[in-house]
Amino acid sequence: MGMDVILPDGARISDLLAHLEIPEGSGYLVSMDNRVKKPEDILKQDAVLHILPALAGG
Amino acid sequence: MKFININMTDKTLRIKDVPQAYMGLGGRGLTSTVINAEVPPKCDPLGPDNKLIIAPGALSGTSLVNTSRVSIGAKSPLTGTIKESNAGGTMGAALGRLGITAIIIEGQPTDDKLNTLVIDQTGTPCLVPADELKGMRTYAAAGKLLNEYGEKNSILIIGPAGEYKLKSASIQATDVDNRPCRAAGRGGLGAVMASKGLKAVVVSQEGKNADAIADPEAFKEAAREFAQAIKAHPMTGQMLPALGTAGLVAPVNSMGAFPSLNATQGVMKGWEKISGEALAELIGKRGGNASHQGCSQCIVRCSNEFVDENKNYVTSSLEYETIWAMGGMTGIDDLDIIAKLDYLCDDIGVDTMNTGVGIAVAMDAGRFGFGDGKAALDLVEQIAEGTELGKILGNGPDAVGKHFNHKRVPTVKGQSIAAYDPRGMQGNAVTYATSPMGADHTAGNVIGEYVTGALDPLKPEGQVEASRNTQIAMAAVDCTGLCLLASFPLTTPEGGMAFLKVMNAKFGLQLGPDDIPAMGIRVLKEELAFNQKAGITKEQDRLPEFFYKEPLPPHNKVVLITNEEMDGALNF
Ligand code: SF4
Repeated sequence: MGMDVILPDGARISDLLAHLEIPEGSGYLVSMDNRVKKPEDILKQDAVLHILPALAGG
Repeated sequence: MKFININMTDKTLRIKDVPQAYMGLGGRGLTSTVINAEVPPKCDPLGPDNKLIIAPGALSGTSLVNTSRVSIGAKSPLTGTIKESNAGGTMGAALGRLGITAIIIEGQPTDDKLNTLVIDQTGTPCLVPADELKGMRTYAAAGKLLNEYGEKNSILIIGPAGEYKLKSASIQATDVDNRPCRAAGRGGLGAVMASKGLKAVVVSQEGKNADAIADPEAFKEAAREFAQAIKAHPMTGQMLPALGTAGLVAPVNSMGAFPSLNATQGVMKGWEKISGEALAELIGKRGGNASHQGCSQCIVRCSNEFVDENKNYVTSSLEYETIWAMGGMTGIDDLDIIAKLDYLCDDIGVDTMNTGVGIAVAMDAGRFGFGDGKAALDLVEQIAEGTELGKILGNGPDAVGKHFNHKRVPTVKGQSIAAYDPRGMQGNAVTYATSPMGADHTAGNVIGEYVTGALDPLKPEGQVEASRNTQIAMAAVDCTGLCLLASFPLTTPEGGMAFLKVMNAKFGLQLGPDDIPAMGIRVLKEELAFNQKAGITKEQDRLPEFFYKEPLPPHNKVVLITNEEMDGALNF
């Protein structure tokens, strides 16, 4: 499963979420190279990203 | 507000007012305070001096949603420490509605006969011989008791693992559908219950004698506000109802902290097959229930009912920790097998986490191949059969490691770690090492800090403080009967305020925000004091050596928290 998303150079995690129409504060996290990223972090070329429910506990 | 004291030596039962020293306490706060005050710290956990204490939370039995946790405490035969393990289902609310603050079971019968404790709708207890339940598994035995006493009862019950007094034996609790599928799983409390000659506790759910509420109108209003906060929070309003706790498989793997193949990998190959998303899809396709209400008064519905291809019930609720222990640790990537293993553990009455990790240790030692589901099913069956290997597995990963002379055993104080590798989430290293309970995720899981990006999970900075704060918060929540999974709104201003108002209206108090952590600290102090008197030293507040020496892929980190830092974590 997965999809390709093309964004301009220098795009940030927040741009990706906006592109996918995921509102801020909706409880999703983005991980890139097995690290949780913040909205202001810059996306890397060809990176594999996971957009995940920010679940905690269990 | 009453205690039911049961002495199993002479089978005497007494109902008494709650002693002044224990007034206002509930759940873990009560079990731990009583144990510290009344149980000789160096006693044999399976001997007559230990006490088994069953206590609903301080808010259980009220109309507040999600407050049906029941705390069960004793000195643990697994860890040698004080232990509280809590379960959902219907028991917390049932005891609360009867105005029962705690059941305290002490002494030891001189024969090997089993008994059932029955508490009717007036709150009157009696002991009934239960020899016909001897050796029975929990589903069949609970079904028999419900036939006899009626469907509107709640049950705590042990299975064969408890009767063998194995160190991973659980106490199973019935859910809203009367299945013994919720568990006070950790610490071998099922063995303590067996040592008291007790097979089951049956409690009427029809009690109408809940403790008075100081300000009923204010309580009603605040309870409504808290329920709204639960619905409004993305975790309790959307994610847990959709995916259950299994929704954690994806984020923890993508953070590289999912201990796999006996904690040699941080990402499980093929984790997508056992993720919450895959689970919900499979259950949905087969016509099971992916958003099931497991516990009384729950509006979150994190539970699920797993069914087979013919829509026949297999188990409830398949949780993240079990999927990890039986799947990630063993390399079994088949949800059908994991679900069967979950059912078997509930039915035999054994902790799914300790058992899955024990199987993984046996696999790592070369006794079986990783991913061998058939071997895993056979091994768990052997616990019920009482074979030598079954008993070794039922005594937990340390026993398995010793038997196979294998050193990589991920436990602290004998209890397995949970589904967050301490090298990939350094704060959980602190919790595993320092919790008075042994390695335990519910004692202070720091993952919330990582998924929100507030803390870097791989750096040592800030981890001790994060673990300390979470351990304090969890100790406080465990006093109230509130389900841990419904506690996320406490971190929002509206939810936190509503909860304070609930507590104040219930008890006629003027608590402020600082009083909740103060309650948690008080509980932890009781627990640490008991452990110290029991001879537990700082040297035992350590992780196994391999966590400091073997880097975990993909981040290739070891545990970076020093011993001095660990020692300062709960230095109140
Ligand atoms: S959220 Fe899950 S564990 Fe908590 S009360 Fe509801 S069904 Fe039970």
